[in-house]
Amino acid sequence: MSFLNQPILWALFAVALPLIIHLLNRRRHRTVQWAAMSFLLKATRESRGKKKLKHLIILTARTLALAAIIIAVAQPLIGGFLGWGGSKLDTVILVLDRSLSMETETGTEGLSKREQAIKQVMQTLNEMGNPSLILVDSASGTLSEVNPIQTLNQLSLTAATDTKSNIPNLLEKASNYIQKNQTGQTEIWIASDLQSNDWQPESSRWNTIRSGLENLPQKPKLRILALTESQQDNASIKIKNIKRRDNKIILDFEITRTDDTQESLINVAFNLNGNNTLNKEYSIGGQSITLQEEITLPRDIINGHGYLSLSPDGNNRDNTTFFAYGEATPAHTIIVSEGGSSIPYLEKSAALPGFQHQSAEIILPHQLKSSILAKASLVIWKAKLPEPQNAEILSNFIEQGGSAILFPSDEESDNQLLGISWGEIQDSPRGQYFIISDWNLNDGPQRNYSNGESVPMDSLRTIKRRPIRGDISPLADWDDSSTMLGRVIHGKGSAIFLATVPELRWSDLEIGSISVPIIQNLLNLGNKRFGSAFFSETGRHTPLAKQESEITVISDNSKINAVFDQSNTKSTPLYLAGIKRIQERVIATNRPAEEDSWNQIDDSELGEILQGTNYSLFENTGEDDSSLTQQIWQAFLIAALVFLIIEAILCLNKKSTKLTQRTATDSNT
Amino acid sequence: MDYSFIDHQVIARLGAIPIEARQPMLGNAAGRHRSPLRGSSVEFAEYRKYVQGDDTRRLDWKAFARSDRYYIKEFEADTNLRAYIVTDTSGSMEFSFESETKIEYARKLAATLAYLTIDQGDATGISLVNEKTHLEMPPRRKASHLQNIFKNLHEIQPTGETGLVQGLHDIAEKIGSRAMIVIISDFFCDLEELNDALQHLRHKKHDVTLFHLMDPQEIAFDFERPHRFIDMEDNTSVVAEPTIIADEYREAVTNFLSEIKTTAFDANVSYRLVQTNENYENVLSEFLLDRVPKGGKK
Repeated sequence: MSFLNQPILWALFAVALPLIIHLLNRRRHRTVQWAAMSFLLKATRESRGKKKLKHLIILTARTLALAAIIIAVAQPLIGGFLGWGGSKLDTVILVLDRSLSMETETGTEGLSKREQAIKQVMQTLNEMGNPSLILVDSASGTLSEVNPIQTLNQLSLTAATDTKSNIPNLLEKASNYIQKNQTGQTEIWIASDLQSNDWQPESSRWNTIRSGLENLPQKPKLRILALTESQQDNASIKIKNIKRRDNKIILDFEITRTDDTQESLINVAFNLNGNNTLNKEYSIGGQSITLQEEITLPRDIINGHGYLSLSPDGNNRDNTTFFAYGEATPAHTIIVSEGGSSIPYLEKSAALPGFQHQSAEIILPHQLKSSILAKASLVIWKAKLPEPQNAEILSNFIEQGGSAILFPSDEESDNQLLGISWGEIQDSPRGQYFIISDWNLNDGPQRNYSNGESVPMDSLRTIKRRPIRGDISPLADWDDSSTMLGRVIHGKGSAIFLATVPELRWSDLEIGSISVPIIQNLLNLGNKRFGSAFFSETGRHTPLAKQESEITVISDNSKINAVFDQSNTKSTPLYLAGIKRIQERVIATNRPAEEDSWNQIDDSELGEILQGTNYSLFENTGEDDSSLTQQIWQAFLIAALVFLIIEAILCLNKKSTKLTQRTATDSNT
Repeated sequence: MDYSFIDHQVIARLGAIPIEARQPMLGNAAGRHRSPLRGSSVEFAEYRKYVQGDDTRRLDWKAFARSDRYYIKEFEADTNLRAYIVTDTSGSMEFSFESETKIEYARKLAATLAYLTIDQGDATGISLVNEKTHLEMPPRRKASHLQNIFKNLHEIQPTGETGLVQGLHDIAEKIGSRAMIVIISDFFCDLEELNDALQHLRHKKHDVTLFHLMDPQEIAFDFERPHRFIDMEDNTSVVAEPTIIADEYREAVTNFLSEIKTTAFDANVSYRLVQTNENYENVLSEFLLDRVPKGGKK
């Protein structure tokens, strides 16, 4: 419970008045000479129990009536959101999570979590006498004053977006704002669905936020309006990879759904350049499935765009994924080697015959330069690990989105790359091989083909290997559980360490159909950094457009999907997924992949990251769309009236008894 | 000397109503009241056989002529009334809340009654009793005696606990012949003991009347604030919250009034509860009229 006029509560000390008056009266009694003393003594002896209790009830009723009147004047508010101890606020800083996951429909009115949060916040602020409202929205990350508060739901700054949120960043801004401005009695309200990737519980930034809030002159109260209602019947689609091959594009896309209990058919509509080209139903049994479709492009059109969409469901904003294409991007591989029989094989694996856009170049380690890697998608390192200077060049390449695969060398070296080094060369026991027993089928370059077939990793026969030393994520393990294939993610790219070499004195890697898919997958992955000219992520500023006015929206959710209310205020194109034209380029922007994760932080994680702050959590499960608070001063007035009536009844009862006694006395005389 | 408790206009109005005894009286002089003895008035009473020693002048010769037996013809005797006015002078009689004190009221009743009785030729005495003293003035018919009564009433200083019961027993023992005894008190005493004393008086064939004086506040107990009550008889004190104990108090008073009324009924004495805010003239008027025999003097 909180109060709009909390200072009035000081008057609660006045509830002691009836008691004080009672005690003073007892002390300041009158003295009378009395004759009928025997009756008095008898009455005093007999007036225990009920009478005392009645008197106590009268006194209590007076006290409670006074307290209820004072509380009513203080205008109490109830509601789990404000909890106890709230007071009249000067400023509320609203941290609004506008991430895509907040667009999930909730409650019975068909409102999204974001819309419901805004509605409830507006009603609550109205109940609280409209304090000053500062909005920090997750999409723009800016602070803006909302005046009047009734316009909150009409602002583009509160409209739906296809972005992700960075709650720690927003909280830091709110904290800084309080530090720099005289905000008076301030509270920070966070409206969010507690999606884990938005809250980033692992972020070290939370330490800064906690100490920032701690050091504020007036420690603000943090109130979290958690819209944690789980998504119902929702499916999402996203393009994972797009490849241009002559007049065809090959789309790898993933469908994920919330309900993984039974198999169902999901219809996917393919649209190319504004025309529906294909409608196809896919049977999905688990939670997610990765599929591949090949779309033939019109002959005379080099550039184009399109989207894949699902039928309306619990969250319509993740039902569409956009793509754009242009000329095929060259896929260039740099093979860094000091020689060896595997080099021709690796060159062929990186530049497959018939794939004209693929090429490979062989250089020696000392020839490595940043300029050489600028056009490369993949680096195959078949030499001792790079010296520090080359390690830095290679690290930068990986950080910018390039792919690298490193094979061990016969030479011994203490060099490291990204904290990884090679161990001692190991030979298999005579007549035996090192065998791969376990590998990841869904992730990494050795993952299954898009048609579901697996890479035959277990067919590899290895007689020599070098253990991988360092902190690495294993993707394939030898049968003795040591790592055969591992990955280190660095920036936008990744480095793959493979514990053997495609040479027959090491293994039959060059014979089996293992190394080719691995290298081709890595090449495609590295090539995405060039393909990013066609793709972007919502919320991420593109260097092509200096002003938003330079962005022309060709297609977005509201244009292609009738379920979106056209009358609603729209966010700026920057925060919406779709096809956009910026200068001469056509770019497809899609929601961040993190928004497809439905993991939410739990209470313990929240308690950990906000440890030491004055926070309270109110979970709105979507069943009630009303205000987060409710004024209940009327109830207190009624209570006061009831107490006064009780008091009056007890007192009147006493008077009537007196009259009865008098009448009895008269009749006796 | 003029006394404030004497109102001559009241006496003049009440003087029209005779004070009648409810039973035959044994006075020491001829008067207007019936005597239990046979006397020489004109009122025939009965015949009885002559016995030796009877005055032969009272023989009914006509009866002797008719029956040849000696009969004595007897007539009713009239005598005067002797009234005793017993006034309680204990400390509790000094109480008053908003009206006059009970002792002031008692003075008016006693003085007026004394005046009226002596004025109609009857003898009146007073008895003033409390715990320690028992002032007694035997009945006299002289007007000068009335002045002494007034003087003693005027000098009453209520104090101490009540000695009424013992006083009544003393009176019962002292007064040999039948008399009218008027007791004015608040009767804050043991009712069983009072009952014994009244029975004692009745046993002596006295005509007893109780004037029970109560202050209205003693009955209503209408206090709002806490009070320290100091006992007027022994000075002990009690701090009490009247709002809490009022009901119990009133119940105790009601029971007391009921009990004393029952006691009076059992002892066959007249009882009148008098609240000190009542007009004493009305009280006395009711008292006198109530004693006038219905249908005239028997």
